[in-house]
Amino acid sequence: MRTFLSGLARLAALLLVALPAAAQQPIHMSLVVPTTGPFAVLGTSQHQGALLAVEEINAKGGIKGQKIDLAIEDSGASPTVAVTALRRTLSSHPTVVFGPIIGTQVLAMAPEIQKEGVPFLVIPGTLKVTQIGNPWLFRFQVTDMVARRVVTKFSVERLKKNKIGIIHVNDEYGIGGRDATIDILKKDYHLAPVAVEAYGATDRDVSAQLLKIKNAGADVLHVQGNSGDIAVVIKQIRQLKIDVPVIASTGLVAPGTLKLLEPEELDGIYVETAGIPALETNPKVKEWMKAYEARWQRTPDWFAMQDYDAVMTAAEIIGSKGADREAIRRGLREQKFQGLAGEIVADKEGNMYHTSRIFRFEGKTPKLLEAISVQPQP
Amino acid sequence: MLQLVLSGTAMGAIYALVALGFVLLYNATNLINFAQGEIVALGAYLCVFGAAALGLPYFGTLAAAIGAMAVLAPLLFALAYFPLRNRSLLAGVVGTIGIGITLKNLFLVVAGPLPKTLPVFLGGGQVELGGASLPLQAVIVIAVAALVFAAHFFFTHHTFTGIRLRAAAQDREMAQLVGVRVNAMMGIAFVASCVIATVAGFLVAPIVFVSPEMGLPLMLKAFIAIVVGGFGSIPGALAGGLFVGVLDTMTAAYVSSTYRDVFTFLVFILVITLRPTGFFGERVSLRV
Amino acid sequence: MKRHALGAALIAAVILLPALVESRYVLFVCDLAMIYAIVALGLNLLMGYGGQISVGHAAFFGIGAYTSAILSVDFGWSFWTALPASLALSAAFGLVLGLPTLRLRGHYLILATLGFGEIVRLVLQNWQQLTKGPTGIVGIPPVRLFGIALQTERQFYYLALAFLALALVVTVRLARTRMGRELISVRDHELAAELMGVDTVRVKLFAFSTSAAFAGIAGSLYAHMSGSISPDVFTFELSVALLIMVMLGGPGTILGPVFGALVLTALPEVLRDFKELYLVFYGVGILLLSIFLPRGLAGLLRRPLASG
Repeated sequence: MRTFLSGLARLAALLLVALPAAAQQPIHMSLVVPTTGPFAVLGTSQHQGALLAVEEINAKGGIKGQKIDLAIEDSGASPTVAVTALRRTLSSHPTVVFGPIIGTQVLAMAPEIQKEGVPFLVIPGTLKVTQIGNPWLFRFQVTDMVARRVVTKFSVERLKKNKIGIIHVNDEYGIGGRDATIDILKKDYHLAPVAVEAYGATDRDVSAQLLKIKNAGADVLHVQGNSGDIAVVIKQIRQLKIDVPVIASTGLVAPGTLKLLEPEELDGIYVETAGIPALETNPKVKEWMKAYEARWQRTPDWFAMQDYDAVMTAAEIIGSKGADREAIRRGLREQKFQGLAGEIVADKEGNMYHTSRIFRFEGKTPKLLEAISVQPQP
Repeated sequence: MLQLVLSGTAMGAIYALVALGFVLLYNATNLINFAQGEIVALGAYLCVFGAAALGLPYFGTLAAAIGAMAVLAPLLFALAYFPLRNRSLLAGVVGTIGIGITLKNLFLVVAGPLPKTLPVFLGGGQVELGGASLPLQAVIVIAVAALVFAAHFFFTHHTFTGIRLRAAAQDREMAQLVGVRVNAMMGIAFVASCVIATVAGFLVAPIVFVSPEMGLPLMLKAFIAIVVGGFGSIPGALAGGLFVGVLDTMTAAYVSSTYRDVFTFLVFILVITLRPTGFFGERVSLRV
Repeated sequence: MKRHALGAALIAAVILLPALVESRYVLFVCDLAMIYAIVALGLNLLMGYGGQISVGHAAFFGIGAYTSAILSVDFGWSFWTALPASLALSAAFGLVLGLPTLRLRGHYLILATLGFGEIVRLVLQNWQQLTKGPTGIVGIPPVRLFGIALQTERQFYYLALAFLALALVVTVRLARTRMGRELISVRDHELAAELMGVDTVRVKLFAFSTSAAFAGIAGSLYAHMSGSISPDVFTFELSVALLIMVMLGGPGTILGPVFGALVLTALPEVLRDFKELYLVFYGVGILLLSIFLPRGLAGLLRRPLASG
């Protein structure tokens, strides 16, 4: 009897020691985003959103007792740097990798992701990203095609305009958006834009381009730019008194960009964006915003929310299926989730969000006009 | 058409200022300052911090920033540029590139990646000129740039130090022989170059928005301006800058906005190969 | 005697490295370093031997990469069939740059090469029909050798090493030929060389096209190793890095550029722990290098292997 009891005691002691030891093993996750170089602003949003999620989870004790260890690497300005960053972080065997918002960087990283077999949650809008057939790639973003479809539909069907003028930034984002718009106009409406002009991301004078569009008789103007340069374009549209409706791309509502513009300049401008955190009525979003602002002393943008959602979604799957790469992949493929940024469900290409919205500025305040969703094709 | 020319002139004035700073330094030290863009950015950041901290009226911020630059520039000169002065061309190029990278990333670390701006003069507004409309800010830019060039001319032709500066730039050995303290002249030229860069940064901040990456595009345009205007020539910097500014808008309007930069660089290569001296420049002498 | 033993040990280490190193990350960095080393050797021919400074060499790297990528993705050519095309096209563009700039010196040449580099990058970005625009080309097949696709870093290591060795051999032999000596004479004193009957035009054009060819071959290797390329890889920043590789190792030496490539590829990785600060260190390092070691590390050792 005594030996049995002492044996039991020893077993119990062993278990008591072993359990915390098992819980001690952190879950490794990686975040590879640009923290230096020309995309550092976007990378910062990603970083802050993701880290906030990780910190929240860890503050509650982690996922089933296991804390998350988030390794952060800089993907820099070039796809080559992004790839080496990815390879470096893969040596810590992360269960899931969160990737950058830059399309070319994601495309460069994709082969290694496929070889390694790890879920890769990214947020670029570039179409190509989910067209390469990589089963591990999941896009926590509205694609450029959806975004442009929303803008075009709004221009032609709501505003009843058919002389579309496009001004776009001369990079991957701008050119992709331009091509998508031209494609949609042709296929859905048998139209072509009356003017298409490009500007360099570092240009500060687009008056020539704007005048060309004006002279071509455009009755609506699509502006496809990044948060840094779109403000310049909007300013000049106002200065040159171009009086047609203007629909700007999502970069306009980045908090940093709005600061650069005056209320008179914004008044009447339309913007297409997946959403504006400050305008969400969802109390969870309001709470999240407060937490974000407390943590980072900065107003969050939608990208931060998307990366937050990505981390939370991965964590949810890990909570129910365990920290297993294949399980996470399956979960992302098959399950539905409710994120702060909307409903999250994968279509056949791995795109997770499918709704975009049109807002109109009244002074400096954007008002929601319409939310348009695209049915995800499973 | 007038609209295009005027818009182009405003940016051109900025390029001219950046080019001026560059040429001043080159004439004094023979250094191709690949960090000139970052020094303009430094000036812009000083203005931004000054405006946030001191809340002075428009030109007050500029004065404060110039003051701060006048302190930083000698330091920068002593630590980084002076040691490079006698190095080979390659070392000078690579060294100044290193300075540029250091500055750019210091901006990132200290100020963060988010772009910042300065308030516009008198709250902005437009100026009408013969059917074309120009933002008040652009007019200010052109006016201040013209003032800087005029001041520089006066300084180098009608003041004691200025004349010595010109002498040292034209012929270092000769100047040394007649008692001009060449190293001191180099330092003064560098500080002057930085002060002008600060003015350029101040003027361009409300237009370009201040970020760690703002320097390179300005510098590239300034290079084109210098080559077209004539390497080492001050009037060349002015003419070249204006030329590049107007060329940019004209090309975007009449050729193609997508290929605008390709076209501008082609013009650059054409000028550099067919007429390296540009409008006003030095003779391309043999490196004997 | 000791030098030979050291050399042999070094060669053995280089060959055995993949067997000893487990980390795919480290091997990848080595692969990348070797590719850059090939470009650096070419640039060294132009700069160290020829005395012409180029801040546009990423353009030739890109031309080689895109040629091979387009031929293999759009036309189904293999790496090996596309290689001569990459080489030829890059060399041709080397002439395109070299011809108009023949009479240019010093800073004019530097600015001209900068302009050339920017033009190439912008064309790659905007000529959508050919280059697929800013998104670039994806799905570039791996190199196939004797029917085996070289998919892993370890396999690619030996391919890259073979090409690097080839580049080294060409460089060494070149230094010993008459062309090599003429190159050096042009670098040291162009006017005198011309007076002595050296056809400086031929020499300079040779330097430009050969250095471009080296870069083009390296570009092909890069394209097939990486699987995808885009214009934002071939930037001014990369041209600058290549320049620094040559300068760091020592212009005009044989192994200098290789060493420079290794350090400049490995160093940012080593410094990654410093996050944003690492680029500040990088910049300061470059400045210090220019002030104290303008002849590169080889200048320190004072072993000019360049003398023919």
